[in-house]
Amino acid sequence: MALAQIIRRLDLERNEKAATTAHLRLPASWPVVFLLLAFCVFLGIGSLRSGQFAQQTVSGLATGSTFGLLALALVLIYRATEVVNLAQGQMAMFSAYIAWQLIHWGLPWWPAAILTLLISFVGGVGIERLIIRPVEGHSLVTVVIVTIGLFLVLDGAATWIWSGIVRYVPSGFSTRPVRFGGVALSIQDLCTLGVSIGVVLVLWLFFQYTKVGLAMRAAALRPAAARLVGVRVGWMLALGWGLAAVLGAIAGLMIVPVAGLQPSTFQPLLMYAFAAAVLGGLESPAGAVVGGLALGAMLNLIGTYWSFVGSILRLPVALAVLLAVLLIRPAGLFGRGTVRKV
Amino acid sequence: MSYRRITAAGRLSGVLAVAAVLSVLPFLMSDYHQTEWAYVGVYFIAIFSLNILTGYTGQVSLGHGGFMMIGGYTSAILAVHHGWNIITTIPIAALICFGTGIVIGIPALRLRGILLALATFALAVSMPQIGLKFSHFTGGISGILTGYRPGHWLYPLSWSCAAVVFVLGWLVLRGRTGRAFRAIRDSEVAAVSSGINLALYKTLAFGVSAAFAGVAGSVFVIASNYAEPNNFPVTLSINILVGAAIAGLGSLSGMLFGAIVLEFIPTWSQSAPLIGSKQAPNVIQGLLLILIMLVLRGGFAGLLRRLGGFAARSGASLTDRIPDTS
Amino acid sequence: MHKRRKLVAVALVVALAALAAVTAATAGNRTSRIDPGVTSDSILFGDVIPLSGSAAVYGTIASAIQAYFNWYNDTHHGVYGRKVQLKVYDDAYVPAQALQFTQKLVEQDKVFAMLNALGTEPNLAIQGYLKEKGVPNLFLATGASEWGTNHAAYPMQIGYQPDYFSEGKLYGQFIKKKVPQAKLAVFMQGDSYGANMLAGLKAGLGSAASKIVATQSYQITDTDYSGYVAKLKDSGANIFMDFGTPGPTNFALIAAAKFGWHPQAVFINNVGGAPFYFNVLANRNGAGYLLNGAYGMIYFPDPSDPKTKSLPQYAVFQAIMSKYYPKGNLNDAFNWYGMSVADTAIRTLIKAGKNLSRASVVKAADSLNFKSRWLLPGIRVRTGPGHYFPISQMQLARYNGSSWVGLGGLVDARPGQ
Repeated sequence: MALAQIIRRLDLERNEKAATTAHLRLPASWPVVFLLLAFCVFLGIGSLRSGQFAQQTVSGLATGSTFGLLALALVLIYRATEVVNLAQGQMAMFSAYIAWQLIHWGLPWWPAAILTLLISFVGGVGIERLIIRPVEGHSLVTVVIVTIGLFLVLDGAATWIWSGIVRYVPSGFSTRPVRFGGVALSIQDLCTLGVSIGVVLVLWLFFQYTKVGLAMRAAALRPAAARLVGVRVGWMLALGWGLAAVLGAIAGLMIVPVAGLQPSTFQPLLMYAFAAAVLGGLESPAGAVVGGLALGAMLNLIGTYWSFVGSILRLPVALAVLLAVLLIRPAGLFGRGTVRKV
Repeated sequence: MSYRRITAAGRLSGVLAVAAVLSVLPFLMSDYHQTEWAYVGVYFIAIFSLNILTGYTGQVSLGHGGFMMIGGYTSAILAVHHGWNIITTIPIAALICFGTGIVIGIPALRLRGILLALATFALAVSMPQIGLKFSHFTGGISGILTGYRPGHWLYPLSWSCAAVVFVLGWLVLRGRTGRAFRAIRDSEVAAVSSGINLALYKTLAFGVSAAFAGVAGSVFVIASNYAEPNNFPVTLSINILVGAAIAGLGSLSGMLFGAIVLEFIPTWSQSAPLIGSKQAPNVIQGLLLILIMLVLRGGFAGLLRRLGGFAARSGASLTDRIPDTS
Repeated sequence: MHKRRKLVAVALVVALAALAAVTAATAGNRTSRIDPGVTSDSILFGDVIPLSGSAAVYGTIASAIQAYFNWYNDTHHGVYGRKVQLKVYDDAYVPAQALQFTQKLVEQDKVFAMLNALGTEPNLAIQGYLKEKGVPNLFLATGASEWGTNHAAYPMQIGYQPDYFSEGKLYGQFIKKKVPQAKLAVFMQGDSYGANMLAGLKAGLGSAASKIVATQSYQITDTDYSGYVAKLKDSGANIFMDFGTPGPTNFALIAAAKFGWHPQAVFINNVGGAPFYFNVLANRNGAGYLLNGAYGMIYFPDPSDPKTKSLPQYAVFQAIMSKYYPKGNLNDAFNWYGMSVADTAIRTLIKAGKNLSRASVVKAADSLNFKSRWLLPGIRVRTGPGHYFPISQMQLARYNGSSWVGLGGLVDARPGQ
């Protein structure tokens, strides 16, 4: 397949390291793997020694998986279109409201969820074609402002249609607690984690092995070259947004049962998701989930054992992590350093 | 289309004309409108500060609300806790923000494009929480009430500061520093190869920009009598960027328009008799933003340029374009 | 193509000029007035309240007030023939915006008085301005105690609801008397709302204040409360004291249930104790056992409480909502609250008399004494010299799984008395 060969060559160009160490197929470099393993060992030992530590870790991982889910949508858009979507949270929020409305009208959960995903996909494609396409290639500022405009429109529309009262969207999974070894978790928490891992796997399979996925990667890496082999770059970008909207909707459906639904629910969540995405590497879906989990656990533990932080500095700590990663290793845990373009 | 070049004298008289109008305006307006236009002055300063960093040096910042907060709190703390005359706090606020800008500008050297925007965004979001934490200095959630009722001198104060900032900024931008800024914006590698000290000028841009934002924050706190975390939400930083883009980044002629839009669109969209909903304002603002970005890419300055031959440039730059910071 | 662009450009410039002209021209108004905001056939109140942003959930209060006024105007032809109106601006809970819009209301819209402005910080921002302009700030929507205690400094300003400090004190006094072995874990909002309640709790506990073994605050920016609740549970406390708004309260209870926490008693503050949220959140996620027998405070019947639905006043509420605010949620306690405020405002206007002035309305507000059908039976809206808390009576209550049931009699907690 000509397309597959081109992708592989582009991929190799992009990552010189992989070319030389082609037999080592790790998603991350050795220091990062070591760091993550050390962190896991730390969490494990702490959990064995202290019930409180264990519970905070487990709760933190559950929270972190919500960060990771939203971060996945961010990463997907960034990877496919190089745009950082400041409206991602509100898109997820709007999808959650659509789900609420469908359920309110009497649909059972699973059909409502699937319909929401479909509607979100169409919405995402529509947004890309109508709003993002005209400003493609323009300055960063223009694109950022357009996403801000989108944020305002979605926020205002949601408040207008559904008002500010807190809504409840039930979970598709049971919220019964699961208790083991003195630690409590709900099935919903486990499913959120499971869904994020599942999405990462599906994305990986999609990008590695399907024609459409390959085409999307080509459109993102080298649009001109991709056009030459017949890839419809424009539609690939729209597809990227559509998929990201679906991911956002999934995030919304999994998060809203534990966080309640208001127009403002996803705004703080988006900041944590950004921190998770940057920590994991803005172009790596696996990084988004791992980053989210690590961030969630870290925040809970720091908040519990360092009273100076308490709850007031929880968000600044997450953002300090974001800043530290940007300054020390901008590619994040799983990202690959890009060569500076001249 | 033929461009008529306006001479330096012509441009100067344009600026003087605007200044004259602004000086006369308060005598024609009610107290409330004076207050509104005083806020226009605040936004003018804020937009100018961001323009220096993003429009002229190409470093996108989503965090200027944070600098405004630092400047505003400096004024409040000095005036209320230490008894200073509030006007004398403004230069101090500018100085402290200059220092903060330098301190932030140094690590920011490592970040470019969207990553810098994200980092500054993170700062803007964290600032209110940090203000809450150090409540011993900042008054925590209750903030610091300055208790001044500015009255009729708010408008002159605001626009005098705006005039000072404008003149200082213009001097910076037209000289060697400004040329270095623009060179950095247009191409960092080319700038380095022409011998420009990237680190020095990028950091300097941050410092100057932060200083001006601090002035805006000071006047903002004077106008609103209250330094409080809720007064500096992340929407403030976003609005400043939006105002600067609407004004036209990289050019000085649209900034007044940008400030006017920032101040009046929220109030206007709430008063306009619309579909009976109170949430329409947000939707309208968002739609307007998108429309403006789609239609008027150069912002208001670009619009002026197209309107028939105004060479609305400042300094000696030959190309005046929107920075492409990727 | 050039021509079209030029046309668009010219249109924009014209629009800007028009905007400037309009803002300049809308200064000053035509009809003659006695006091600003009062004409022979109308009275105009002003309000600044968050309609957007994270505090948008309160915005419905203003709509409820307007609905009540519209109903009253239609059925009673206004107060002494003057129709009562409310002009509302969105301040998004930004104090600087609250001040700007208050200035607009006073100087441009020429309102008679401010009514039910919401939030401690926005009101702190506007009180100095309103004092200077001599504009009454009536029935503030916030429970900070200072609105009652600093009446001497701001004589034209008055609060409305039972203050948070007194509510916390109520709980503290009860625990001191009735639960000697108490060990309290406090879950609170990390701002003045939570801090005031905590201060009241400590005051109520008095010498027993050491019974508070853990305090955990949350921020509006938090997305998850499990970690906080886990920490509270680990403190070994046997009483869970909640000083949060409905959302975090419910999610904290759900987390507590998840951890299998069985405290001896649960206290849920008035704002956080709306049965509407219990029914959609806590009850559906396994936290029902914590709600059963929980203590709280009530001063008005919550419309989502099944007991309320059988009150005659509920029919009035429903009728007004369906005709004048059909989009509003009948289960939202804020709507009921808004109507009670509007009712108080109307009574105050009636008391101020036909020669309505700012001075007369303040005099009326400072000497209220009536029973309101919007409040619990027996609660009087009462103000007088030295006592500037219109509603200072509360009742301790217990939740029986579907309703709040009053416990004991009404308690009058007047700080500074």
